[in-house]
Amino acid sequence: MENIKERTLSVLVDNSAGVLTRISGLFSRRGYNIKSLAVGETEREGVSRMTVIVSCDDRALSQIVAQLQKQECVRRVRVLENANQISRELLLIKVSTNAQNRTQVIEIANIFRARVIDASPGSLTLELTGEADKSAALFEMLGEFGILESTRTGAVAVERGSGTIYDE
Amino acid sequence: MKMTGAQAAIEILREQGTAVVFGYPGANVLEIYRALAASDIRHILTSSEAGAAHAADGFSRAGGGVGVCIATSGPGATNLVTGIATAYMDSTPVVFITGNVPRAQVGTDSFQEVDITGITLPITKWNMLVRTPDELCDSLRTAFRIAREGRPGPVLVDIPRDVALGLCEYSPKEPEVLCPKAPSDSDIPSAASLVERSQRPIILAGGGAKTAPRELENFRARLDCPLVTTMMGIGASPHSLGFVGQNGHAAANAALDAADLVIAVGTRFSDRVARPFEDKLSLVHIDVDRAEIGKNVAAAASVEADAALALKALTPLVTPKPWSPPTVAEKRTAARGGVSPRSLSTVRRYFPDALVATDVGEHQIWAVRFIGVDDPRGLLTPGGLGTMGFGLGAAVGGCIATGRRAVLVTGDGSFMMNLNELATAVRESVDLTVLLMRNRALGMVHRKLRRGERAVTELKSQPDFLRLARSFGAKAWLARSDSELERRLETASKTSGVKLIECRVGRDTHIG
Repeated sequence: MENIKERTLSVLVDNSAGVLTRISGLFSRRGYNIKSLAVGETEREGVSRMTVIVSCDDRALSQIVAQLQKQECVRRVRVLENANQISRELLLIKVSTNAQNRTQVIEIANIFRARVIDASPGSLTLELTGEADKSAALFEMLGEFGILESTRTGAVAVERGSGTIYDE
Repeated sequence: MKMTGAQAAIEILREQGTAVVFGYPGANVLEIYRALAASDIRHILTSSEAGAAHAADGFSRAGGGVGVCIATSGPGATNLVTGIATAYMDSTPVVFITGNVPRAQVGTDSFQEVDITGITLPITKWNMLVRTPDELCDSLRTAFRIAREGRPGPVLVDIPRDVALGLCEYSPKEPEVLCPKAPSDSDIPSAASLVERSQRPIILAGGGAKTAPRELENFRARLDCPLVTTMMGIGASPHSLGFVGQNGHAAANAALDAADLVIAVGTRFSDRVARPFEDKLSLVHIDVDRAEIGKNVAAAASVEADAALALKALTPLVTPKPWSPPTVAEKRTAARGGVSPRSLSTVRRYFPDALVATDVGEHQIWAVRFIGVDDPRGLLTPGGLGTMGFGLGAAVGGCIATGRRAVLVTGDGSFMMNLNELATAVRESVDLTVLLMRNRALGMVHRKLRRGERAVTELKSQPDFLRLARSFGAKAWLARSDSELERRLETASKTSGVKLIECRVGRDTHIG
């Protein structure tokens, strides 16, 4: 195994029953671990777009692409180059706060351009959009206050510039 | 035209050219069976759904069409699973139709309910739970297309009972004409130049090459080089030196070793074949399934296309490269009393034109080593999954598809798994000769265990196979030696119907 790195795949699929199971099952039974997965509808009716991040070498990547392209429900597969893609994930994080440290948490949120979306006497809930390392950094900064709970989406990604997944 | 989903399903089978279906009825496929009874399609009732699945597979392997198999929900559907996986591993086009509980009960763990589309997800090319009667026609047509298209394989359509009962609009449609995948303009020249630069090329024909026997022969004749096959490729060419791999012919393996370029056609390089290739040989890989190229063995050049089209395009671009592979002696067989493996080479004397089916175990290796098969559709063996219990159902299906005689070589382990299909064979009056290699052991496993560990592989309480076969209505004889086997084969070849020859084989008989 050489050249193992994170790869981002954009997959256009039919928006029909069982597609998520079919695609995620394909990864797991061939032994490829999904690091992140996000699915949503697109601007085209009946078509969903999946963004899948896997850690693998070049040979496994071409095998994954070939296996995906064989599926009846898959319309298109594109590997996004790490240098040429924009990706974002969404993080919701609930931090334990009190009257003394509330402003400190808000200041940290501001540095990260996170938004406060809920507040209670004992907590603040922040929303952060960004790349995965930004979420990780925010986690680190908020750790000392006590993180009550958090949840994050998988990353979604598109190519930079005017190129799209629909291009030949 | 308005009709019930069940009627529409049968109409679609008819429009797709289905003349025979294998199956087993049950509550949730009753409507489909009712419509089937009213049609001109022949239904073959097997003894279990497992037998039906293997029969539909054998039907397709021998006849070349799409096999069709129907089973009810729950246990009917789960009994198909091994047969579906067998067809998937060996790329056989079979359409499986299962009934399911009415839609309102789906997901409630109702009687005989099982999530068969979930269960078969990794062992079908495609499957679908039909959600409305209106979806039914399209789903079934899609099923037939996908089963045949590109690399063939099994598909499954699960039809809830109320969908089969509901009304839908049916309008006749011709089956889709599939365009075989043509090679790309750039692949062919690079493959051809690699072949031209080689001095000792060899053709390795896999199961996929059996779809293009004429093109394969033209290519081989043009290149004038040795040809070997995989086990699944047996029968692809009458010029084959044998099959390669762990259990293959020594001559074929030696030829492969001596070559400086392998031109592989329609093979997935299973682990039984791939080992000698690891970073040793230069490879041109022709396969219709892009995912097979580079999956197990890296290729120096590849052609992602239908075998016939790829070979046709390559043939005029190559020049003769004759060379002689080394001659090597085949492994000796150690026969310890009774019938010897090598005696199977006499089968062709009495059954020159018969289909050959096998189960899995020592007998399978003996059969494929010693019974010659020159016909691309002449051998029915479960290569990829290695399914014990495949052979009898598959042989019945093969006979029904082709009207040919069949010889099933089986062992006492495998035969015990699905011998209930003797009833089907007798009832359908197929001409089938079963060679039961009885060594009172699970030979292949027996050999791999040490002396003290072998008790589990010894078959101690066995039925009287001759009386058992006769009780099904078959003829049955005993063969205790090679000469006796030959006499029995002669008798069997002159007797129609289902026949069983119990061949007594020493427990330690094997190919060294």
